[in-house]
Amino acid sequence: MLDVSSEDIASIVRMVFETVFAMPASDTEPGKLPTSVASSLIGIAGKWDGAVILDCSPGVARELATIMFGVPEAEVDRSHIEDTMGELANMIGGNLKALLAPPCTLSLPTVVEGHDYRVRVPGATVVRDLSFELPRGFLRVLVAERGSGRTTGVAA
Amino acid sequence: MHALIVDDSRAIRSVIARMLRQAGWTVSEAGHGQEALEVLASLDDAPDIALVDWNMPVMDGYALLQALRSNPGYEQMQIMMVTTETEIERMQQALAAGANEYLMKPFTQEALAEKLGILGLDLAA
Repeated sequence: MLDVSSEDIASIVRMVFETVFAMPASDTEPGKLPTSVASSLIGIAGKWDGAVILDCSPGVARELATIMFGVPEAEVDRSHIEDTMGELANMIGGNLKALLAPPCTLSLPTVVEGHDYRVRVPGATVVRDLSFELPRGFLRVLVAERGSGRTTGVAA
Repeated sequence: MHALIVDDSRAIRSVIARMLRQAGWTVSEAGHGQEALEVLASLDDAPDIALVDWNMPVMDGYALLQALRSNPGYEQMQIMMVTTETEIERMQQALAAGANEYLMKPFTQEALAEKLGILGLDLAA
């Protein structure tokens, strides 16, 4: 059972955004995502099994990639967005892992971008669901835990 | 100064490279440990420091650290792990294997400068 509170996870997200993007990430109500989404996922395995899933609009992902790569927005391409979303999942997942009972290992991140898709974590259920308001849109952070016997589908 | 950045994330390589190049450093890059060994073999002189991620495909940062520390040709090159592996056990493991410093992601330019300063390397532009 996940022994990390929503507030602890929110603190990690805010710290990552302030440190990497010099951008505030304010808590907001869940469910304000557009139909077109960029997602990234990173798995954690060990004493706790699950995944961290990030969803945001392509506009948010593009803005984050612009900052991370230091290039004009017009020059940002899909590979910049994929790398940025993957690293964002890596940093948030890695810092969450540090709060879990060891041993746990972090997977390499996976990134999905497009319309009308669903990210599934077999055998897991969402145990934390947080949303953040960013200057260009919203970021949703889901933590899915394995072991419940249910499957989490993350809709876009 | 010359740094080798080893990270499978192009985004992180870009962030670190930008910080270093702004300070006049020369930067080489590799996407995993095996590629880092190939880059190093192609250089006439070893970089002053290798900034190494832990979790990477093909050859991870810890395996690279062990490979570098077993090669006398790189004994003068400093190695800083730059990673989301934030547990104290991992840090101790890396330092015991020969890493000179450890920087946790995410980090600010000031934090990178501070760690480089501890190693006697200047990030001031």
